Amino acid sequence: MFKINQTDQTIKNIDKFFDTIDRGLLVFKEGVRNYLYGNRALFDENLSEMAKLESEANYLRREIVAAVHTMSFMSQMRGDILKLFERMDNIVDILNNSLSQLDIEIPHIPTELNPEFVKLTELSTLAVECVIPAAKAYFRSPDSIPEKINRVYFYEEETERQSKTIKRRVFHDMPQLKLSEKFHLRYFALHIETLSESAEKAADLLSIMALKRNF
Amino acid sequence: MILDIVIIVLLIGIWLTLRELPMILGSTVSSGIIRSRYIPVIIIVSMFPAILFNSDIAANINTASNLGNPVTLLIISFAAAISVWIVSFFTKWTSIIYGLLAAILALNLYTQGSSSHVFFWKSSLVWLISPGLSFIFSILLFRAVRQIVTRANLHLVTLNGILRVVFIFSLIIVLFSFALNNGSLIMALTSALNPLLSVSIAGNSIHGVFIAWFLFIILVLILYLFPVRKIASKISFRLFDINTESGIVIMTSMSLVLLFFSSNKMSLLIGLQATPVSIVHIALGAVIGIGWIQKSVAVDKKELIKSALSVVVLPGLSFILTYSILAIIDIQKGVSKSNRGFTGGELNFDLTTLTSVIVLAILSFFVVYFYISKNRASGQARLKIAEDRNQLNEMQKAMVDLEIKVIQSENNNLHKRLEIKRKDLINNALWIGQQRDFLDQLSADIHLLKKSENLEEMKSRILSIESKIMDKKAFSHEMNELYSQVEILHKDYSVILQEKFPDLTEQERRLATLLRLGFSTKELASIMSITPKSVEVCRYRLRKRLNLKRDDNLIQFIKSL
Repeated sequence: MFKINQTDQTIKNIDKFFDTIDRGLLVFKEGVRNYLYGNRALFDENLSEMAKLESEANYLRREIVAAVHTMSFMSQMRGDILKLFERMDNIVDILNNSLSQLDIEIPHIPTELNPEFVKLTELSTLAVECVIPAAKAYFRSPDSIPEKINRVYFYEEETERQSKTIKRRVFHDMPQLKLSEKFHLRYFALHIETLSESAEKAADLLSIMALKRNF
Repeated sequence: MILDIVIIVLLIGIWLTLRELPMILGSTVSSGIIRSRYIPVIIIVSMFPAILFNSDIAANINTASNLGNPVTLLIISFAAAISVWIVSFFTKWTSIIYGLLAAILALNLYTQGSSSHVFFWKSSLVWLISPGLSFIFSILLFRAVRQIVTRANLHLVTLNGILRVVFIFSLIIVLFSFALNNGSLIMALTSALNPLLSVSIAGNSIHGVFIAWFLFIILVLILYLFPVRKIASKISFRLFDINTESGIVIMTSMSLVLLFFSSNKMSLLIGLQATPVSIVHIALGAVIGIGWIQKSVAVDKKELIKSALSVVVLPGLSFILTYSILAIIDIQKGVSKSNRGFTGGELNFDLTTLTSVIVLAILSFFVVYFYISKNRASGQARLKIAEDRNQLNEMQKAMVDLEIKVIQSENNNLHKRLEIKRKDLINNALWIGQQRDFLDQLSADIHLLKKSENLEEMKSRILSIESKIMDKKAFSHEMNELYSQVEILHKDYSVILQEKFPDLTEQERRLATLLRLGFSTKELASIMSITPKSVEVCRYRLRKRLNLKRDDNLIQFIKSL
């Protein structure tokens, strides 16, 4: 009736899930860098590792969802918690999709744009990196959530600014590129930007959840 | 005797279970922490042991009044149950406890005259204090729980596990407190029958109180499986849409108040004594307490006022009812006064009291009837408003449909016009082509004519050219096109003309159509390739066919079709 073992297992699964996202971010950053600097073999390794992490995250999410339902988790929070895991899982999906799209579409990225794309990736992943401690804090100290998610909003705005810079450079300062190539680059910048947007969405949800938890 | 116990348990138990138990189970239902199949087990485990404890409340009631007679017990239970039933039409947030104690007071007054009624006045004081106490407890507990949860820094999943355990224990304690406090009424009323009923099983004698208690628990379980669960889930939406921590706080506050007023020692600390208190009102006190901290009290003020009024109205009604019944069934009043209790016996009907009771009953009936009919009238008014709104919506929908139809027909019309224009364009193009061909042919013929030297040949060529020009003048194709277009544009007119005058010839119909379009005789002659005189003849024939008199205007008639 009290399921003490299941409680411990669920806590482990939750921590593991967030760690998986964290590892996913590292692999993604490395993957983008390897792609930009032409390290194809290493990029392929990153790609396969990312696929593994995505399936692991999916598995953990399913386990957590099942536990939340079977443990009669506080009904007022259950929905929000499940939504949070869904949003966090979505981040892993975006990471995996972005890498695999680089693999499939092989966009031509001019060398002078490499630092710009690396910066964009860094900022975008930083937004997600900041949302993870906030999500972890929800389970232990919900009071600290607001100060943690402020950073997410900051990095999200920075990512947006960087993305605009890239797009402006591509469309205004690179007449040598074909229109299709410009579109392709804009599309990839947009993809990386989506990562920070999903982090922002998770942060929005967390801020509401924090308010609700202050019973 | 067993029948008396069954009736008493039924009358009191039903109202206790229907009014008080849902307030306890409300937060359990809303939190979803305990599955509903476990709740009957928890009810048995927590409520049954209460019989083993000495009830101070039952002792107080038995000391304050003489409840030895089964008939008086039945009267008290009946009057209280009827009073709750009547008050339930006004508010669901009330309790049989008020009715029962007022009924016992009525019995006391009737049998003992102006003897001391300290217990009853203290009980009234407890009823006033208990919701306030619950309010204070809930605030203090809420703050304490919040502090503990914040400082413990536990993982939410662990916290959830702990809260579940605490919640279950809180539920067990509150159910036990309910059984100890409110259940003591059943003990008090049936303990008087103890000496009269005792069942021996395997050498052990079981007293009436145990039988009554057993029946009460069964009744609670039966009622839980049917209406109580539904009532609790309804209440949970209205009152207990709160988190687990708040649920625990509410239940604990209720338990504290119930336990406090279940013990004489505890109650004496504030100069009172053990008294049954209403779960409904202490639960409301706790809910308001939590709402006050969270700055969102989710209790309907109107319902709250009604509920507060029931604390006065219900005992009053029960008191009058009991006193009246006792007065009607005047059971050896003198004997009872000297002996502090009746022993049953002959019935002396008092006509004055009977009349006043009947009048009171009729008045009560009218009040209830008026209230119900008012509710029904307001319900009907609401229904009428809804129906009117529905009708308005339907009318609006019909208007919108009509507008859509108009737009569709306009669209169709525009499409037709577009089609005609398109046809015109094609015809014009074809006509230009044909004219060019004709002129080319004519130019070729004239060229041949110029080259020809033979006079006969020239004559024949000139005749050929003249015949071609005459053919062209007939404009047969263009004329047909013109008529077909006019028919499309004036479709209704053509149909009406055909229906009213089916004998008209093709030429007459064409003439009528051209007249409708407003062409003059000269123009008609040119269009129809006939002389103006022939047009006049045709018009005359048409007038005859249309059966027009000499004074009738042909064109006006055609236009009026």
